[in-house]
Amino acid sequence: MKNTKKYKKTPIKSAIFRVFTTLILIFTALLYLMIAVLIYLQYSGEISMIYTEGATHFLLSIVLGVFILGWFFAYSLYIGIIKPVYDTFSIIVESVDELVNQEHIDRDQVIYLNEFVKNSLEQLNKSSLTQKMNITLNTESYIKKLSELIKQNEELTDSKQELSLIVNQLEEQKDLLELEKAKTNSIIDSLPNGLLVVSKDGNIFLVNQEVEKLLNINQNDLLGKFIYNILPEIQYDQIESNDKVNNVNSFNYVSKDKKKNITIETTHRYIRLNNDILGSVYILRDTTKEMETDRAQKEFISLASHQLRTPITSIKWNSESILSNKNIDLDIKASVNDIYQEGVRMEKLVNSLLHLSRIDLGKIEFNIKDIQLNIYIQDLLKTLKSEINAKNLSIEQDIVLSDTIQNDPVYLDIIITNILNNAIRYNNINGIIKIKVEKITGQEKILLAISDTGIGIPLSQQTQIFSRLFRADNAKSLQPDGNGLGLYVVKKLVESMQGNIWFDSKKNQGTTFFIELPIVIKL
Amino acid sequence: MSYKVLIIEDEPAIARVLELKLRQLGIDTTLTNDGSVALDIIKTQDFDCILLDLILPGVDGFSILEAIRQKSQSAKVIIMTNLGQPEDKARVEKLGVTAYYIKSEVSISQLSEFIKNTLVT
Repeated sequence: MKNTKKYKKTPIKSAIFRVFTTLILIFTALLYLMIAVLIYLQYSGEISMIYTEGATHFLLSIVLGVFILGWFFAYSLYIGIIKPVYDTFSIIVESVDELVNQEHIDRDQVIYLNEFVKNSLEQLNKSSLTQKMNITLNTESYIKKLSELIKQNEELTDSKQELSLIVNQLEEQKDLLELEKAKTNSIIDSLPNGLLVVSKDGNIFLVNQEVEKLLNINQNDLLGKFIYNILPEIQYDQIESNDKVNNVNSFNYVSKDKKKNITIETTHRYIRLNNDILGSVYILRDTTKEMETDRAQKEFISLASHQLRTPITSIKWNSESILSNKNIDLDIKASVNDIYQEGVRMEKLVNSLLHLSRIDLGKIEFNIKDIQLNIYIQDLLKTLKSEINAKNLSIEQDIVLSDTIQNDPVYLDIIITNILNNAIRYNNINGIIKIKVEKITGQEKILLAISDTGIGIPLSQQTQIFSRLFRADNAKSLQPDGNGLGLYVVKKLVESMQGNIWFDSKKNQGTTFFIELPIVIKL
Repeated sequence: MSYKVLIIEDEPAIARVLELKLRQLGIDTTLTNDGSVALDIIKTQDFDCILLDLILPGVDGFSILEAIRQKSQSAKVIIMTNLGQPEDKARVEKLGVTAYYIKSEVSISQLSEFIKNTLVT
């Protein structure tokens, strides 16, 4: 900027007027000289001797002509050369000044040009007329250069405007993003469960308010910390375990200030992008109350099962012992047999209630083993032999399954025994029971179908058959001692094995129960 | 020489009929209804088979099983209980048992038959 001001004061005017004034002085001097010579000649009388009066007038006309020509020449010089040069340099100076004042211009180039103009002016001031004319010609090319520069600058200005437009748009987008971020953060903070995210190397990089509350640790003391330093009990491994299944882990947590002593359940999943693991996300939940309730319920079931089963055992074993005595009176035997059967009934009821409470609590824990279904069915039929024989039932089997299945033997037994018992209990004398097992083609499932030729389920009551404590009218009149829990328990168990159960039944023609189960139950 | 079986069962009506059944089969039985007494008996005597209830006054069946296992890893122990929770079963199976019976679900003839078979093998 300093340079620009300096160039503004370049003495263009003085240079031009100096030339102009010098020329006028020369011609004025010449004029006076001529007049002086003429006056001298007139008074000395020499002129009259040489020239006539007409000659004197002629001489004066010549002097005047020289004077006018001189003036004309000076004026032409001013109009033809000095003024254009002056105007040109004025434009150059203004342009340079404008350029230097603007941003986004190659300042070095302008300053160089300015320097050049300044030197040219100095040279012009000193130079001869020919040099001045050369400079005038060269100036045109500099003006051209300058206009190019101005054009470039305009383009740059346009780019700058476009750029500022983009910057504005970016800022708008940034604002939007920040709003979205704020929304996401408030959503994360509104989660009723703790959310904790760790990087691949185990450093915490995101927590929500619930985590702070659960752990009683401020967010700033959590972020960037290694997860094990905060929660040593948490499941964290860099080995890719089977992350299709939720990795649920439960542990007791005591905060440093001992104010928090809770049970935390964590569910862990890997964060994947394409095939890379970016880190892990943990959902933290305070399960203290649930654990206490769970413990209380388990204790109750345990106590109830023990307290109810002990007298049943006593009734069953003692009546069985009496019945094994061959010398016993028949009437007494019949009574004791009734006692025994009632014991068996009570035992079944207790078992059903216990299964029911476990199902309702969602506490079914499968203990999966390999089961040869064919062998299992043959064993089951053996234990039910007396009941089958009592009704003179014939059994037809169509078991097309060579592979073992993976299931919980205890719960599978409850399912199949219940259905098979119903097929016996509600069958007619001399009836038929069909047992069919096959692998469902194209699926890792088996289909078990157990049919009877018994009383069937009345159409109007078919929708209620899996309801708790429901018994069909015809079933109640045939077997008054049922508890209405069997099929309810069976359906719940099948469903918790990710299976399906349905039936096909016609009153007085029989019923077929279909049970579809996965070959391998997943925990 | 007859087999020696220790019955650890606190319910008299159950213990008595079981003892009766086993004696009928010619088995020599010792009965105790108290956990602490059972511990003393185990320390001083050897049995061919121990029938163990889990809920007992004094010391419970789980602790008795631990004491048995400290003395012998191979002693035959049949659990006869009315605790049917999978976790109870898992707990004793960890220590090693010959069989786990829920009393109300098994008939006395089935149980005695199993005991007889266990003794001869």
